[in-house]
Amino acid sequence: MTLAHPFNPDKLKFVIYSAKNHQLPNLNFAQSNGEDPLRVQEFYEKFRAGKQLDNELVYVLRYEEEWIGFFSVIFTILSKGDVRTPERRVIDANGTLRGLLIHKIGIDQKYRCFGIGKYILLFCIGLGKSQGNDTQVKIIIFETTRSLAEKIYHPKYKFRYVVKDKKKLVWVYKKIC
Amino acid sequence: MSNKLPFLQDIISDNDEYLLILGCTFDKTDDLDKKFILESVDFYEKHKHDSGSSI
Repeated sequence: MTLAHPFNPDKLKFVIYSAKNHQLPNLNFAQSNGEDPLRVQEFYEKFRAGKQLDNELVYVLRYEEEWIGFFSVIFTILSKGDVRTPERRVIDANGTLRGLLIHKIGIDQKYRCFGIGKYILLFCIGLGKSQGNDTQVKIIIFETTRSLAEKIYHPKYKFRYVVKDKKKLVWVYKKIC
Repeated sequence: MSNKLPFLQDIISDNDEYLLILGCTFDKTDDLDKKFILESVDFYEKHKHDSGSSI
């Protein structure tokens, strides 16, 4: 898609979704090859239809006058399993750390290639950092394809990742403290 | 909030109370990370008031 003016991230709006207040359009979250390995479309159709989501906050994204995507976040508590952590400070004394899970990220096909994923990450990390000392988020985690992790999240933003069973999908994470 | 989220279980298993991250490692925060995190905080501060807007 070509925009009339260069993409301006200041024009992005991050709006907390409310089924009562927002009527969202049909958007296409499939990859360019038509696949949707992260089942983003299914999730979008579910909350758009008004189905309740447990413990999850959905932000919908607007650019100028158009809805262009969404993401959902969950605050959770993680604990150390067989974790080899060179830096123990991220783990609390009781072996737990607070994390922000970005459950789903969806950007409409027309708005790919503007780097919007980066701005979602910036917003989420800022959201995590804005929590008080007692509830400070120390890790951001989300699921994505191995290809994106290898091409973007790891080399550009130094996220680490763990390959899932199916090998095509990974969990990407970053310490933010 | 519940920590028993089924979509997490392939990386994380639960022990009734908490979730486990398996195989994660953490690097020390360097200047690039710090810059990215500062950029995040600035970006969030600029956009946090969008949240409640009644569009």
